[in-house]
Amino acid sequence: MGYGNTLQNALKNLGLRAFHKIRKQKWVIAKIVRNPSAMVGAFIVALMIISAVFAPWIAPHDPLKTDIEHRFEGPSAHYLLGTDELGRDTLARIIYGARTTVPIIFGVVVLGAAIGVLLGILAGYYSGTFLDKLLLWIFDVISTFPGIILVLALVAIFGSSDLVLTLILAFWRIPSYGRISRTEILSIKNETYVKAAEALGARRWRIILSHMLPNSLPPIIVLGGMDLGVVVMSIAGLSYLGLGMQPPKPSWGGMLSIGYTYIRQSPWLIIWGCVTLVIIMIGCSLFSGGLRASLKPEESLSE
Amino acid sequence: MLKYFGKRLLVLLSVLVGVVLFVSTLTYLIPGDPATIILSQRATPEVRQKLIHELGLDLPPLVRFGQYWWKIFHGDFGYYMLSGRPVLPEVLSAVPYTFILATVGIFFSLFIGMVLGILSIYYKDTLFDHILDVLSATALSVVQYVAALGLMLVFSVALDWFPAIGMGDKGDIVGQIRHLVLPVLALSISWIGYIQRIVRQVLAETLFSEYVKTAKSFGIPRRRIIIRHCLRNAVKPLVTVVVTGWGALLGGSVFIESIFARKGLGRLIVTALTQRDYYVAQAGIMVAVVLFIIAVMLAEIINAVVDPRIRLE
Repeated sequence: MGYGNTLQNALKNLGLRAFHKIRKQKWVIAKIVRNPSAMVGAFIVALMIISAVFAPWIAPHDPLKTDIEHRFEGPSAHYLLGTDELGRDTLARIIYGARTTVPIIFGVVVLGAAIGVLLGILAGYYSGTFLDKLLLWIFDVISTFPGIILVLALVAIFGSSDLVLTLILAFWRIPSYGRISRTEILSIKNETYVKAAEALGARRWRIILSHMLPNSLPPIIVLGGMDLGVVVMSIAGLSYLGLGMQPPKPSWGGMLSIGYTYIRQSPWLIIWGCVTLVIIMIGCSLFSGGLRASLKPEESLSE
Repeated sequence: MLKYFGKRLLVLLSVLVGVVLFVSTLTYLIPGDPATIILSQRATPEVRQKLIHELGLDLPPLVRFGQYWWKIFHGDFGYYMLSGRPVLPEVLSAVPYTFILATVGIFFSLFIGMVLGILSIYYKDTLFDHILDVLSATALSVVQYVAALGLMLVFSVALDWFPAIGMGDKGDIVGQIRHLVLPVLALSISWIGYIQRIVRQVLAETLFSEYVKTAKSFGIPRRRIIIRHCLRNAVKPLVTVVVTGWGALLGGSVFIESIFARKGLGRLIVTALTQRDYYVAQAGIMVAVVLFIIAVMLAEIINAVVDPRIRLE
């Protein structure tokens, strides 16, 4: 039985365990449904995703279509949230803003989590060694940088296309995931089931993949939920500074920036921009709070 | 205990070294050639070459790197691209403004957050408590620039209570305070939400523990219990959060500074980066990071002093 076989078996086991975990998710979902604030959060996040996916069908107008005669209008029957400086419908731009932002935030969170968790597992498993200290040092260096400045400097070098932005933001988020997964692994390392697996002669990677990783996931998932909101805010901030999405692509931060320039002509741009961002942030916080509450293993519940 | 701090200091210094390495690599990679920027496009190639040679930009990267470090140890952070003024004094002169903003902001948030946290524990589980819970969760979600823009819209443009731009004139203390109000508020909103929740959680955990029940059974008034006994438990997380937050704000108040058009370190760094002004950006980032590391050290020292258990680890 060579390494190849072991990997195959480990992956098969991971798949089986994932399948069973997903079946068990019913009770996670049930817990979320019973929790009102988590439901609100989940609703908001779902709304964001739906806007992103179904934008062309949901938006009442074309976000790029200008209507100069009706610029800076407030809410009306025709333009539900009013218009911007070129007469484009604000609601449509908000919905399409989700379309531009959502793929990036999910890319950032998935990529950042994947790499961060991997590094964190390495650091935790080999804790105390040079590798661990090196990884921790790297995490510290990245996180000691003031966040905006790190991202800005990287954008200045590598540009602000969607892909590059995703990579840069993921890079920025890696330390958080790294530290959390390292802490989890450190405490899991001494659990009985790990020791049992070792005693049974299981290979290192099998233990890591099949036992340690799945059990360390909950805090990471919670962090991921929160991160969705954080990344949305940073993308909007970058767009505000003119370094994220380029016009005429609709973006929430861009709306704020334009609103700031034309603050005397029309307050509505800023109002709707702020409301959108605040609602999204609240939604992500509530959602991740709900995840945290529901993923906590209940002593009284038997599986 | 000194050994503990010595080790921590070493680790933090190594982080600083790492950051500086990172920064110099970054600024080296930023496209754009200082000589061209200084001389503008119309300069002839010979003049450009001469300037490049003078600035020492034609030396191999490793040599430049070494030179850079050598100069730093002698306090020479380079010169402004266009004006030739030395960089460090200018960067350092921006720090006090950010310092005022960050310090007032953090202390204001700490004060209000603690008061609200204590109040919500005092009236635990009443409507007041629930409302405050919702409010603080919302406040947490109001990021710096969102708060800044919203506040500016309401209090400056609509109501004209407070000025929106600038910092007030020299010598006009009242004016300067008025110019501080909105920026500090914008900064504080999310911190107040955060601190209120921390305080409430810590107090909730300790208020129903054994030793407090004992104190209550002795008839000690509730107020004294909360202040004397429970709050001490809140010191550790609060100190960590507040002091490191303060350190982070020193370099990261970029949005507030640009929206309200105030001078400050964050804004300086951002402008330098967008204008490809290497030396300013590098110096600015290093100052910001050093301040942050100092803040982290301070937080650890305060925690160790207040909580003897840490010292004995």
